[in-house]
Amino acid sequence: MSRALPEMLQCADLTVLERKRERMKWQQQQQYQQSYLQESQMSFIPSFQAEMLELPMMQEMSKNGAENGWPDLGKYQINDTESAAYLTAGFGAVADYGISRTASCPPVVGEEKGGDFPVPEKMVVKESSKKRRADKAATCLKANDVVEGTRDKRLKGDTNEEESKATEQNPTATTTTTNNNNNNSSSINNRETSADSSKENSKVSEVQKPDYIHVRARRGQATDSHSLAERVRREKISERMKFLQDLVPGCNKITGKAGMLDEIINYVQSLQRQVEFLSMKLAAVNPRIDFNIDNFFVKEMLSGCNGSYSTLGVSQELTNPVLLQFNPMHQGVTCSGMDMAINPSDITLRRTTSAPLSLPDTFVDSYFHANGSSSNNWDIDLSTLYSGDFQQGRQSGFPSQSLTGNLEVNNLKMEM
Amino acid sequence: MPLQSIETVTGKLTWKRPAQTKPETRWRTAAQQRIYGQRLLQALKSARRSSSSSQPLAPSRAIKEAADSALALTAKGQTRWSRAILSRRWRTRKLLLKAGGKIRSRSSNPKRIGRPGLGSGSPSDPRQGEEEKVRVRLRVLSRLVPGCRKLSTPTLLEEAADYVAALEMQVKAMRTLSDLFSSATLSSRAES
Repeated sequence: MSRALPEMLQCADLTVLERKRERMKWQQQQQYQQSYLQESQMSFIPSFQAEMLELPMMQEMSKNGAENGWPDLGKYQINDTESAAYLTAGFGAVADYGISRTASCPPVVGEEKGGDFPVPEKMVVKESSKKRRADKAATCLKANDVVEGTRDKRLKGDTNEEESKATEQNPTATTTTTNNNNNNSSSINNRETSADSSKENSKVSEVQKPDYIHVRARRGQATDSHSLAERVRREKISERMKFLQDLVPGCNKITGKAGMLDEIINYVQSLQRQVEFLSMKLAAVNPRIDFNIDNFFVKEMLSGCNGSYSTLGVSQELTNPVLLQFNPMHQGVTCSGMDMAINPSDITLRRTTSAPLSLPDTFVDSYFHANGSSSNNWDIDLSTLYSGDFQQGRQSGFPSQSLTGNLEVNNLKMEM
Repeated sequence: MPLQSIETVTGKLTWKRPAQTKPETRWRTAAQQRIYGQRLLQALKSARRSSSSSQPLAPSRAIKEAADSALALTAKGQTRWSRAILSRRWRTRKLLLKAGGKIRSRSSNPKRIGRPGLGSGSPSDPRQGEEEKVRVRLRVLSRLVPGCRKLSTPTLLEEAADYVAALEMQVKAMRTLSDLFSSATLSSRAES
């Protein structure tokens, strides 16, 4: 907070009026934040905190300049210190687990404070996320503007180049290309001058995309239009063949078109046969699993709304009564999970740590007792695997069997 | 006249150009796989429901068609093969309604025999030139990719590339599902 103000004052680009306005804004925001801090002092939960601390910080550090960045920076620093102090003062018990500040796990709070706070907490989280989104939107807009400016410049350069190139070509082609270039540059100019009605202009520019290609005849090559077209076609074919070659495994060593095509044909056939075989397999399995499909589908739907994962995870954690009465084993595990989740981009991990919470209590206990020893060396793949096991275990209600099927679920990550 | 020919050629090429860079990234993204997983599950469910009521198709056949049409739906009909799959489905359904299931059993057999015959017979012939070989392979490939029988070579190759990527993803998704289900049924069998 105290660091943010001088930063602003040092900013040399701003005019006096702008500076004043910024200060007003800053003060308002500060007041707002203070009130909202007091309101939400008791309720810092890990995901919220981690997001507030890392995700926006990085984004804003990288994206925008001083005029937009400093209040937010100040805000996050405040949150950081406040919550840290709060943590160290309030929870000596947490320190026993050897967790960093981001791992202030909700179970502890729930145990000590009871169940009276979850509603304001949720509210606060939502509010903050909304605000953050607005900020992000603003920065994104700015970035877009800048990018568009540069792109326009680049496009202009390109057209100039192409005009100069086109003059070297044969006369029939030059007439068309120069026409197109003129159209193109004029459309670009339009876009630059009136940025408000960008929709119409983008449509116009889409229509007037350059519909020509450059073919340059080397010395001694034929320059009439038919052979030029033929050359273009052959280039296209070879390019696509190269692309297919990259796509088909084991096709890199083969030279010659026929061999490559053989390989491609074999691969396509094998894939189609695999699909047939798998559909037979699924048909054999299918009659018994219609209840499973329901479960699975719900889970996929949950994982589908990835964008709002944080609020979803939070609300899951909050609304779950299971969370408030754990055994310490599970606490430890969640804490280690949270430690891993310091990097906020680990969406899957965050989701999987909240996924076990939706399970019935007894099952969680048995499972964690079963492999509590392995909770030390968690990594991301393992945790997703575990969640797959959970799902499977819930489907069958038989955890020991699902442990044997551990390796087969290796691909499950793909589904998420 | 030469100007016109150039314009027609270039028109075709630019129509294809945006689609060309897409497939290498599109089918391998996690989002696409997730979408397809959801579609596949839905399709399996509906296929099961319809096959349990009254459908002359074999269950594996129904599931294959469901998976294929789910794939085509995921491709959003932007490519030719996906449109072909969708239209094929409608056509077969219409034919089935008309002929009561007689046509399909007859037409499926010669196709299956004819396909490998062309593929295996051509490489053994030594006097074929390279050009001829390539042409034969291209014909085989065009028969393998749905809806691409009468296409020019560049378009065919492009479609084939997209189709291969999509098939890869389909196989992956179906394998995952079948593994999951088989292990679940295994455990449930052990339970009972």
